[in-house]
Amino acid sequence: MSNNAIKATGLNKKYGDFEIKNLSLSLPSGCIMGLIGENGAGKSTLIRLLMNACDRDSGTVSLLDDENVGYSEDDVRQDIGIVIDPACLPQNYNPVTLGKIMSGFYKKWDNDEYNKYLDLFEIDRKKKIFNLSTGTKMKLMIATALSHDAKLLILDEPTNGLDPMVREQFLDILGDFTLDAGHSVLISSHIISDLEKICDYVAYMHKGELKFCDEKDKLLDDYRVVKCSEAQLDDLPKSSCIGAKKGQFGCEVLLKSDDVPLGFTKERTTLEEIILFMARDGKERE
Amino acid sequence: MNILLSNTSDMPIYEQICSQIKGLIASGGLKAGDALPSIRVLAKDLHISVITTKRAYDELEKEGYIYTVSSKGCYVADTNSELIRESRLREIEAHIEKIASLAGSISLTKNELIEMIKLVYEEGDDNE
Amino acid sequence: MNGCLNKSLTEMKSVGKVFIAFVLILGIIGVFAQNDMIFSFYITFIAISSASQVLEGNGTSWQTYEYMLPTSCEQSVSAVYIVSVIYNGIFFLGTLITHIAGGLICKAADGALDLPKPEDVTIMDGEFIKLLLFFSFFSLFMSGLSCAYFYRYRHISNRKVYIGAGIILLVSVAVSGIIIGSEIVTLSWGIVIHTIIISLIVFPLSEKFSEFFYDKYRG
Repeated sequence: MSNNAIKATGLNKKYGDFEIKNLSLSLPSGCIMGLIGENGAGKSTLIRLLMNACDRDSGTVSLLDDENVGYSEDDVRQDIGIVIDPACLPQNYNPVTLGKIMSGFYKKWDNDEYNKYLDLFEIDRKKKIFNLSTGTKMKLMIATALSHDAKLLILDEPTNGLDPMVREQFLDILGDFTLDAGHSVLISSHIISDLEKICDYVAYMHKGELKFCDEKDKLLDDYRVVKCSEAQLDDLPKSSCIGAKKGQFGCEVLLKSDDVPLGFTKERTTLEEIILFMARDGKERE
Repeated sequence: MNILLSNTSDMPIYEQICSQIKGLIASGGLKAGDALPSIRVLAKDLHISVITTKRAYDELEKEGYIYTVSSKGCYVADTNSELIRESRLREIEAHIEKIASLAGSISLTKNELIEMIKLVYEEGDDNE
Repeated sequence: MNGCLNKSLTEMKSVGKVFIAFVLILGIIGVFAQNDMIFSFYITFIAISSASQVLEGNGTSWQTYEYMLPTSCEQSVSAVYIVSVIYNGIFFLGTLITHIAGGLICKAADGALDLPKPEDVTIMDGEFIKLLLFFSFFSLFMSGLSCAYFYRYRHISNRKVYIGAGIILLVSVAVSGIIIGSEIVTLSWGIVIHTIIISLIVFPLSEKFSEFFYDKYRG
């Protein structure tokens, strides 16, 4: 697993007052990385930079060990499936025509596969795309991303507008997709509980900076929530305190697991909680 | 085979997997030569990362419980299940010693302690 | 066929009908009204439609997506250009048809209605066809320039592309106005003013442009 599906080093991009600062990221092939961040944290910009859909000021990007992303029609992008939000497929055709158009872009376009996903997602083939609901448009885009034998999926908020049942189905599809060790996924989402189910790595972005990028299970193993009274707060080691939530009847503190003093009950927590604690902590420091 | 991860346990996830697979081997649920689920299938099913699963399997392989046939998968090694049982028993003994010393520190009698253990088992029965 | 061209042509199939209808209606009104201003609008429309082809692709969020699909700049630019050539063809033929049709209708009516006499159906004393030819070539030239611009700046923000294309359009229209000569100076000014107005309205809305007409057409 020495190959990297995504490797970016020292990415910089300035967009008015928004800036991506010195961002480095790598995703080993065969893994799923979840990208988390507030609205406007730069997730979509990062994805655009990775796909070379906008010029970067400096830095290097290689996808599937290929550095020349985006300069010809048979470059590495043939092996990449893309979903971006909002689902911006051309409005005036029906899904069947869309399939024909997409087959002009992808050399390995597989119409049977595409039809399979249309059936699976129950997409009406006769309706024009602008008559489809937001969720269905998203499903259609997911279908196009999965129908050309991609090795890497780059998904920007693909679960937006999907109902919980379809989301579950979609996560399952992603799980099946990565059963092949050569397949990798980069997925951004606001629904952290979804990411918790499928990701191997979690990257958190805040205001154009990558705050951390770590193994998901390591995060879950490393941090514990301790519940205590406000008076007990001082007994906790300050240095390993990630964040605290003070309530009227007690406090919740996120701590490094190893540093919880004896006598406190520590609890495992969810990825969502960890991220929220970190985000709050980041806000307070600003 | 069942592998049940606990959310309340303080044990890291990969250790939980290790210990459960060891348990399955000890109890005879997994026999020598049985194929283990592939890393990716297990990771997908348990909603944990591939890396963690791989680490657990590596650990098990290092300890000699399983072996890997490249490009085929992992298989249970021909270890003596008695051996695992004994190591478990030793673990239990160590825990009991700790309990006894803790009980001694608040002068809890032997009978009270046995009562407590019984209670734990009864609760477990009720839950089932 | 490359994906971009395929997409543009398919898009044109659905929107093109509306454009043709628009050209024919405007043309016939122009013939009967014998009004130079209507024709100046008509010609501007031709010029702008080519540029808006470039911008239409640029303004929609489809563009963001297309940049991530395996295409080359050449493919997306050639798609834009080929479609703009086809549009020019449509306009040219549309104009000829309305012109001839106008003449025939006037002849058939032959003074019964209050229409211009058949021999009067020569807009601007026959200068019109010459002008139209000129503008067709000119608009192709312009969309070529826009394409070059598009090619160079396709990774940069939309606003810059709009401004760039707008400037190219305005300058070239103004220059052509001067070239055409002083006797139709009114026409040149008409073109310039129309261009400014239309570029102000159309460019920022270019993503809605085709859909707007399309929806109108659908009723």
